[in-house]
Amino acid sequence: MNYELFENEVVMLLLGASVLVFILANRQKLKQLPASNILLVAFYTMLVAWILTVLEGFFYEWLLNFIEHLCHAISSLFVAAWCWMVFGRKIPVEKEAL
Amino acid sequence: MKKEGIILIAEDDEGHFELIKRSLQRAGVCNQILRLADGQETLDFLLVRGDGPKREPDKEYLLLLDIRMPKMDGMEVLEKIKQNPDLKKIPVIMLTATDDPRTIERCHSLGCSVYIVKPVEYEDFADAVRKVGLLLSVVEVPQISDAKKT
Amino acid sequence: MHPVAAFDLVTFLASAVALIVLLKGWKRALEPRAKLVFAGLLLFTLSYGILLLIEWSGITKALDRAEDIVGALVPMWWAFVVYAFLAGIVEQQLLERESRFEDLFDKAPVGYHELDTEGRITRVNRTELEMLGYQTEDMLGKHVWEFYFNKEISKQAVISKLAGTIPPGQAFERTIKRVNGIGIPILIQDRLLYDKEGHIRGIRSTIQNISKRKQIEEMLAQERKLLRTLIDNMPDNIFVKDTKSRFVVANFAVANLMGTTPEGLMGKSDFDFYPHELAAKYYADDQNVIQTGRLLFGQEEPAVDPEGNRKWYSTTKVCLRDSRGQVIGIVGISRDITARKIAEKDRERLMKTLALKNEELESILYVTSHDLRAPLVNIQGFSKELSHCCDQIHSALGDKIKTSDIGAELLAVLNKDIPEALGFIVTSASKMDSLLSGLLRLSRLGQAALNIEQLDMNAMLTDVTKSMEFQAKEIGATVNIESLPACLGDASQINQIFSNILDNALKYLDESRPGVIRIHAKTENGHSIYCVEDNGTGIAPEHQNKIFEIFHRLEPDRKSGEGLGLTIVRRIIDRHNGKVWVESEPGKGSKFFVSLPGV
Repeated sequence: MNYELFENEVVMLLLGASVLVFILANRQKLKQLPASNILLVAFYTMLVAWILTVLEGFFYEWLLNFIEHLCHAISSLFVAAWCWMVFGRKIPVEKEAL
Repeated sequence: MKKEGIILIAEDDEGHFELIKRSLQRAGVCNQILRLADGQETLDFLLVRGDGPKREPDKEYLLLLDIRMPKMDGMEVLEKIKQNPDLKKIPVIMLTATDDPRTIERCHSLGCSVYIVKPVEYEDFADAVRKVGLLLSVVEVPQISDAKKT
Repeated sequence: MHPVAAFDLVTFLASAVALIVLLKGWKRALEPRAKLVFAGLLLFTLSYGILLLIEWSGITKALDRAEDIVGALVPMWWAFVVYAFLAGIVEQQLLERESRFEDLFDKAPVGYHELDTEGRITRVNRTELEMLGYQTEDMLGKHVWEFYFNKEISKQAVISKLAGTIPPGQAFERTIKRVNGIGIPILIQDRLLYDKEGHIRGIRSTIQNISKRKQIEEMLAQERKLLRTLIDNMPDNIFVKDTKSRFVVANFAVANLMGTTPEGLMGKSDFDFYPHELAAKYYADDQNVIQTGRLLFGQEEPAVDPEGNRKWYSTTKVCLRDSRGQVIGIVGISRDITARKIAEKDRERLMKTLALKNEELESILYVTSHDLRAPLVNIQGFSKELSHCCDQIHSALGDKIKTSDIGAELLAVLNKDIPEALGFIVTSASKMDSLLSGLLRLSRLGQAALNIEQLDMNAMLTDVTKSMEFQAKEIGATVNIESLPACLGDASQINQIFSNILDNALKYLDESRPGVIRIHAKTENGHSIYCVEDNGTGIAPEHQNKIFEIFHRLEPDRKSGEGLGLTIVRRIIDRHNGKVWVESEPGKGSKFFVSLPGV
């Protein structure tokens, strides 16, 4: 087995995991954000990307790498979509927190 | 009534008795007339008791009864006579001064044969008595049997 | 192109777009912290994208290191982003709660103010300001007791509470000064405010304007006082007992009757004051009312006062219920009717005596007239006998008497003196008899039972008139009967009345003119008043009362009669509770009025 482990990738993953925990713990509150699901999907895909980055060191390097970069792209798209929805739209989405 | 019949007059007032007697006689009644001075004497006579005169068994009697008498008044006497099974056959003529309708009613209900009111007017009085006399001459008086005595 | 590279390109482009959009909508309502954080994220995402691209282009390996670092930072920034948003939300909520609280506080239906540890007002809500008419700055910072009427007392109380020596306790009343100086009554409730360490940091008070309530209380107190005064001073006994017949409320009258004070009656029952039997009876009555719920009305019962005198009371007891309808006792009123009872008893006694006396009188009359009649029979009878005897003597003497001397004398005696004397005797006896008959009739009137019924007076008077038709025709009098109302009475006796009156009318006519008798009537106050009016000789005023007397006759020589007619009329009228009176003018005529109960 190829054993390529990059520390920073693990760190990234760990950080991401803790953020995940944090998010899950405060799901209710976060729902109050406008279009929060979109933002959360963006995060989840980023998380997947980080997992894959670590895993590609062990097996399926090419495939996982492929998917990893795909996830990055998707995540960015979602972030862009969220931005557009919240800030780009003419109709103000009035939600309590913002 | 047979000439042997005795007329009993229960009347406490002597004067009245005299008047009645004289009137009767003038009217032609010639039976023996016996005076009984008060209610008590009348009853004693009829019931054959006491000290005074007593009824004789085989004679016929007719009673002229005044109401207002001492010792026992006429109504009581009438009542007692009519309650007695033997004596009640004796005809009783009430001859009295009271004209109170209640009294009259009571006497009739007790069983008197005739009720005559004594008027003060002498003529009327004499007339009434004469009528009684006439009545006495035609009336049949039954005999009282001695079979039962109270 | 390698697909992965394409992805990286997409990443880059998307980030760029997002950043542009973000920059465009920068002014939008977004919490600044969040804005920055978000921007940071995007920046890094962007940089990451650029780095990825550069890596692909293979420009320099050194950028690998940079890529790693940036990559590591991305999740960190995500964390920050999330945190920032959360914080934003939380703060927003806090702010909202704050503003809601502010709203609640300010517009509360009661006045609120808060004091610090020195009793100065730190906060006061709108309601209180409006209630008192001050502006915020008039009250903030001032000692709260400056606004109360009882400054010293309030000061002491507030200071003690702040010191923790006395608890805030229940609501209490004070008078607070309005801006115009007028005091209004308020109800205050205090709560202590604590800081994080548990020390008292102030007081929060709610203020309620109780002016209205105070007014009502005042009115109620007045009413109660009035009621109490009324109850206390009423001459009747007024009391309230509980379900065990113990006194709860009593007025002075009751207390006096029982020989104590109203306070002395509280909690006691009749058994403590009255003899056992009497108290037991009262107790039974009370319990009956309580059990059945029925009221005892106007029951007349005996009582005993402290001196032992027997009294009579008319008592009414009714049950007292609470708001749920449960019986909780009885209310009683009793009135002293001793005087009335005594009067009643006296009256009864008098009536009895009267009745007895009446009876006595009647029977005396009755008996006397009978007993008096008997001798009359003798007088009359023997007078006749004497007369007969005279005739006998007359016929016996025959002619012999006419010849001798003593004959004339004897004849005179026989024919004149004796008959004359006898005549007088007989006449007097007759007279006595008729008088006695009259008396007898009179007494009988009182004894006969009255059969009261509705009488058709038209029919009756027609009958009466008819029976006197002959008389009337003989003397040439006419009788006119007008329409008459009905009345209540005994038929035969009323008939008697009118017969007698009409008889009189026909008797006492004026010879100078044809007699006209008019019978008419009217109704007044439920009575039927009949009038027999004639145009006869009339009655002089001094005689008008006498004519009703027994045996009184106006013209004894010229007119017949016993003088009983009007006496009988009066007797009958009295028995019917009616009235009879006469109006007359000598020479003109008379009017006889008879008043009888109408229909």
